[in-house]
Amino acid sequence: MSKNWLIAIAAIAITHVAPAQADPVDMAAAKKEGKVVWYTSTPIKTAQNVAKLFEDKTGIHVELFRSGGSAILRRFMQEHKSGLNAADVMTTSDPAASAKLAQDGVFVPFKPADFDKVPDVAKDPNGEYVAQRLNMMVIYVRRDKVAQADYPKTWTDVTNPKYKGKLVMTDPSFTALQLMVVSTLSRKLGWGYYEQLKKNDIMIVQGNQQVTDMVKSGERVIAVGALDSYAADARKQGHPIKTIYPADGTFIIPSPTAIIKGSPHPNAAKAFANFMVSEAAQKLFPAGGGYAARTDIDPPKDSPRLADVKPMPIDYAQIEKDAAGVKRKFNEIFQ
Amino acid sequence: MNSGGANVRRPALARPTARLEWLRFDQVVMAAAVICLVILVVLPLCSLFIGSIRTPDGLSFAFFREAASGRLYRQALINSLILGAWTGLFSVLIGVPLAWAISRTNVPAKPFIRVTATLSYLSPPFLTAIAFVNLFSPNAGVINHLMREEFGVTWLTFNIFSMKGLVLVTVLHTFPFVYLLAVTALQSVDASYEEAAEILGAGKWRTAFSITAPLVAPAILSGTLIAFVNSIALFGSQAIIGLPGRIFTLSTRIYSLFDYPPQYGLASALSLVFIFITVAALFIQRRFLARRSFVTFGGKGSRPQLIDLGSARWGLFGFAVLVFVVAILLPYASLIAVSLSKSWGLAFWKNLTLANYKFVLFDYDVTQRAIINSLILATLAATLSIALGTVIGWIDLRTSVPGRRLLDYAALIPLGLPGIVMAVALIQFWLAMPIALYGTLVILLLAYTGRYVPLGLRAANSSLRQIDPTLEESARILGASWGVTMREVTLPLIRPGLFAGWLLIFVPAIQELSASILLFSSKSITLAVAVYNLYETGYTEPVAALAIINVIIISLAILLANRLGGERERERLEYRPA
Amino acid sequence: MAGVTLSGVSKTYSQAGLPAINDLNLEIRDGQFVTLLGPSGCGKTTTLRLIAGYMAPDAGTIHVGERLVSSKDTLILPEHRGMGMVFQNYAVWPHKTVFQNVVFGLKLRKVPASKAREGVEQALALVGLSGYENRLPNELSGGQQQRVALARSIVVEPEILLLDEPLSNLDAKLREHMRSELKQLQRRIGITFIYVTHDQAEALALSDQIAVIHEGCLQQFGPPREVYNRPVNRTVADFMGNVNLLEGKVLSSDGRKGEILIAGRLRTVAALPAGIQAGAAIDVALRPENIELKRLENASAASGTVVDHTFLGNISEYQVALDNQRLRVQTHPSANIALGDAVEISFAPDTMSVFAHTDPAR
Repeated sequence: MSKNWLIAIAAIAITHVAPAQADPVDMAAAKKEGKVVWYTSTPIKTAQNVAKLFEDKTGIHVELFRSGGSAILRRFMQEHKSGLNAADVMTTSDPAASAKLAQDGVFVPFKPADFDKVPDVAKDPNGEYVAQRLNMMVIYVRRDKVAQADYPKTWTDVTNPKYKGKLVMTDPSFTALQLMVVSTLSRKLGWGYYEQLKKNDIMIVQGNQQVTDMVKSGERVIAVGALDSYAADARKQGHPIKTIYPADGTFIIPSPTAIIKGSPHPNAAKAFANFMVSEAAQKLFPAGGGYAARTDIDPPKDSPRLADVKPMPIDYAQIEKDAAGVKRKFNEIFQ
Repeated sequence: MNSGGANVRRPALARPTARLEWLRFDQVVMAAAVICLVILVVLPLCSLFIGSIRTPDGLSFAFFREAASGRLYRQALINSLILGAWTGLFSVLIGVPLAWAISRTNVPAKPFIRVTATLSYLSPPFLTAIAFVNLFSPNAGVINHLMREEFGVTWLTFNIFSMKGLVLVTVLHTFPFVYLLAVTALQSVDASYEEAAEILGAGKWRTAFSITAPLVAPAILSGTLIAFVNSIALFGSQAIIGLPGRIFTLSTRIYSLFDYPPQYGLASALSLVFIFITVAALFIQRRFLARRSFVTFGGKGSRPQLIDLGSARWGLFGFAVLVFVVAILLPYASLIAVSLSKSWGLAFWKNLTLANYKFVLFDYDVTQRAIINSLILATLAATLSIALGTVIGWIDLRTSVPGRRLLDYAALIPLGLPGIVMAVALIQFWLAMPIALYGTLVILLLAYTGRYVPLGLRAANSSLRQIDPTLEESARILGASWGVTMREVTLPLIRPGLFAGWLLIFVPAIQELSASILLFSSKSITLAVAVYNLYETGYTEPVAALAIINVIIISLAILLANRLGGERERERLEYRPA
Repeated sequence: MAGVTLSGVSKTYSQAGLPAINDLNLEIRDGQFVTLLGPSGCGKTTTLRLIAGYMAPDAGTIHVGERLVSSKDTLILPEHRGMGMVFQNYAVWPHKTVFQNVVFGLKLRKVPASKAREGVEQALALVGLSGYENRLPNELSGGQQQRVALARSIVVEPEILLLDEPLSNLDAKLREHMRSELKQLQRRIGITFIYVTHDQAEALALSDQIAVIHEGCLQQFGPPREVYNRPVNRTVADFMGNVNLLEGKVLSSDGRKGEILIAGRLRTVAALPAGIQAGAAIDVALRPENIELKRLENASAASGTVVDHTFLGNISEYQVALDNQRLRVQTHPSANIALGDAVEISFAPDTMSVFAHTDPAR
C-alpha cells in the first residue's frame, strides 16, 4: 500500500476522477435496523453534528463511541479478537492500520455514492475504506504569549532551548495521528530530535483536544505536531491561537472510515458510510475547523487551501511495520 | 406419611419428610459458590500465569526476563514502589493524628473530622485527580496562577504532574485506611493499661507514647500496608497525573501494553510481578494484624479519659480543617466551577453556563448508557459478592468440609489483585473460552464480583460470628431444611451486617475504573470510564460536569441505600447471647 | 419405639486429634429421662450432637427405634429426625416474637393456622408463659427465654427431646424451680428426654438413668441410686458428689469378700470387685454422710483427730486426720465434737465401694 503522498496530495486540488459505480444502499433495511454503532476519533463536537444530521435525515440512531485514534483502534482490535462485534462503522486516523485491516479482510468493501469525489490517495480503490476528513498536523502558538519573531518555522526549530517548558504534544500510544508524525520525523530527523524535545521539557498529553486545552489555558504555549482543527475551533471561541504550517512540510493525514464485516447493523452501516461523504456531512468538517475529505468542499474559514500547503511525505506501509517499535522507543525516551 | 390421627399420641405430627437426600440444597448452593469462586478468581489467575510463560517459542520465562530487564518496566516498578512508600508514610502522618484526636483528645468538632475521613474515602480518586489538575497544573492551574500572577509568590506554586502531585492526590484517598484502623485500635485498647501507667506516675503524653503507641502500632502498620497496596493499585490518578508527567507506574504500563498491537504475554508477566508485590505487602499486613491480639477489648467502663489538649486542640482542629479543604472542598469547588464555565482559562465569572451539563446529559449519548450500566453493575456486583461471601463464610464457620480454609484464602486472593491485573487475567481467560464475554456487561460483572468478594466475605464473616450456631441448629432440629433455616433465621439476623457490607461494595463498584478501563466496550461503558474517556480526549469543562453528575449519583445511591437500610436497622433487635 | 441405641460410636475432631467420644455404647429406652453426666469436655455434648445429627460419627451407628440415623456413611439430617432440642443459651430467635418462635415448627409441618395457634397456646400454658405471645425475647428473663425454647421444642411433639445443659445459665433458685418443672413436664408428656449436664445433683434429681461419661468413655450407666451408691470406679465415685477416696490394702480375700485395711487404720470386711487378690492395693470410696463419729476420751489405733469443723446449718462437716489422709464427715449438727478431739470412725460396710487402686494423678 505504499503511496507517495507528496504527489498525491498535490494532485488533490486539480484532479477530477471519472465517476465509478457506487454500491447500493438498502435504506428500508437500514431503517428497520434503526441503529448504527460508530467508533470514531472524530473531534467530538463534529462527530455529534454528523450523528445528529444523519439521525435527522434517516431516523436511524447513531450510537457514538468516541476516543483517541489509537485508543479506538485498540478497543476495536480487542473486541474483534474476542469475537465481539459491536461496531458497525469505524473511523480512525490511522491509514496504516486501516490498510492492514483491509488486507486482513476485516472490512466490507463499499463505495458510497460520492466515492469518486474523494481523491484516490484518501481511499482504497475497492472501497475497503474511504476518508472522512483530512487532518492537518501543524504547529500552533499562543499569539499573546509568544512574540511573533519567536514563532517556530520548522519542525526542527522547536528544539531550540528558548522554547524550554513551553511545548506540548500528544502521545502516539493514544493518538494515531501523532504516530504518523513521530514515525515519520524519527526516520527523517532521527530519535535525537525527540531526545532534544525531551530536554526542552515538552509536555506529553493523551489527545489533541488536551493539547488545545493546555494551550488555551496557557499551561503550554506552543503545540508541536498538533491537529489544526482544534486550534481553529479555539480561535472561533476567541482564544488567541495562531497556526503555523512548517516550512519543511505539514502532515496531511486522512481519517479512513470503514464498515466492519459481521457487524450487527450492516445496512445502517452502509447508509451511514454513504452519508459520511455526502455534501451535507462533509460540510460539517470545515465548519468544525477541519478539512473535508472531498475535493469539492471549501477549506475551513481563514485556513489555506490544500494546494497552498506544503505536504510532508508519509510512508504508511513503513509506519505499519514500525508502529510497535516507534511507540516503545517514544515511551523509553519520555518516561 | 401423615398419620394425622388425633388419637395417636405420638407422633401426632408428621415428621418432615426426607426428600432428594442425594441432592441436598445446601450442598448444591455450596458447590455453586465454590465453582463461582473458581471461575471468578482461580481460573483467571491460572490463565494469567500460563499467558505469562507461553511465548511464541514454547514455554519460557522470556516475558519475565523482558519485564525485569526492560528499562520501561523497571522504571514503572520503581515508580510504583516509590509512590506506595510515600503514600504509606503520608497516610500515617495524616491518619494517625486524626485518629488520635478523635479517640483520645478533647479536640472540637469530632463529627466533622469523622465526616472528612469518610468523604475522603468515598470520593472517587480519579475525580480528585482531575480536580487537582485544574488547580495545580504547573502554569494554568488556578491556584498556581493566583500564586504567581496575583501574589507573585512563585515558590508557592506546585506542579501536579510530578511524583509529589501523584502522592498528594493518592494520599487523600488512602489516609482513611490508616485512620480507620488506628481509631478502632485506639478505642479497643483497654484504658486500664493507660491508667496503670498513670498511677505509676507517667504523664499523659508519656503514656501516649510509651504505652498507647506500642499497643496500636501493629494496627497502624497494617493500615499503612493497606494504604500502600491501594495506592499502587489505583489506575485513575496514576493515568491522569502520571501520564502527562511521564511517570509510568505498573498500572499505567500494563495499560499501555494493550495498545494496538497488544502484548498479552508481557502484560501478564508484569501483572504477576504486580501481584507479587501486593500479596507480599498483604502477607506482612496479616502478620501485623495477627499480632494485634494483645489489643484487648475492654468492654464497658473502660472508656479512656480524654486528654485535655488546652489550646493545642485548636491546632489539631486546624489540621483537620486543612485536610478537609485539600481533600474535599478544593477539589469539588473547583470541579463545580469548571463545570459551570464556558471555557476554563477565560475569565470565570463572565462565562457561567449550564451548557456542559446539557452536553454530557443529553447530547453525549454515552453518559446515559454509562449511568445505567454503572448502576446495574454496582447493584449486581455488590449483591453477588455479598451472596458469595455469605456462602463461603458459612462454609468456613459452620461446616467441617475439608479444604474450607483453602476456600477462605481463595476468596481473599482478590485483595492482592489490582483492578487492572484482574482485568488482564479475565481477558486472558475469557479470550481462550468459546463464549464471547469480552466487551459485555457480564465480564465487567465478573471482574467486579471477583474484586469485591473479599469485602463480601469479610462482612458475612463478622456477621456470622455474632450469630450463635445454636440459633440455626434449633431451627434444623425443628424440621427446617438448610434453605428454610437460612431464610428464616440466619439471613434475617445477619442482614444489617450484610447490608453495611453491601454499601461498602456498592460505593467503590460504582466508581470502579482500574478494571473497567480494559474491559469496557462502547456498549458496556461505565460512568468512571466515561469520565476518564472524556478527560483523556481532553474536554475539561464537560468532564467536570460529568464528574459532578457522577458524585451526585454516588451520593444519591448511598443516601437511598442508607435510608432503606437504616429503617431495617432500626427494626433490628440486638441479640445478646446469655 | 423411640428409644435411642448407640453402638460403638466414636468421634474425633480433626483439630484436637484426641477422640471426643470413644467406642460409646448406650441404650436409651423409650419414654425415659436419661442424663449424660460428666465434667466439661468429657464428650457428653458431642454425644448429644451426634444423636441430634449435627454431625456424623467416625465409627459406630446410632439407631432411633429400628431406624438407622447415623453411621460413618449415613446421616439423616437433624430436620428429619423428629427430635427436639433445648440449648444452654436458649437459642431463642431474637427477631421473632414468642409466638413466632413457638409456631415455627408447626408451620414447617403445615399445621393449619387455627390448630397451630391452639398448639402454641397449649405449649405456652404448659411452660407457664400464657399471655407472652407477642413479647420479643429481649423483653424476657433468662428463665422465660428457656421456657420459650422448651415450648418451641415440645409443641411439635417430638419423640425425643434433647436438652443441652438447659439450666446452667439460670440462677440457683430459678434452676431448682425449673428442674422440678422439667421433671413434671417429662412425666406429663411421656417422651424420651436426653439431658446433658455437669451437675450431678441435677442428674440425680431428674433422671431415670444416668450415663456417666469421662474422657470420651462411658463409665457407668444406671439408675441414680445405683450410680451414687455403687460407683463402678474411682472416677464415677469422685464425680458423683462428695466422696472420701482412701487408699487401702486387701488383707485376705475369698474372691468375693475379704478383709481390708483402710488408711492404715480402719479394718473392715467388704465386698471386693472381681480379680482382686490378697495383698492388692485398693481405693475405697466412702460418702461423708455415711460415716459416724464418736468422741473418744483416749486416742486408739483406729481413731482419728478432728482437724477442722464447719457448721453448715442443716449439717456439720468435719475433717478428720487419719495418718496422712484426710476424711470428710457430715453429721447432724447436734453432735458434740470439737476441734482436736479424738474420734472413733464407723460406717456400714455396704455403704463403701472398693476398686482396684489407680494412680490419683490420672
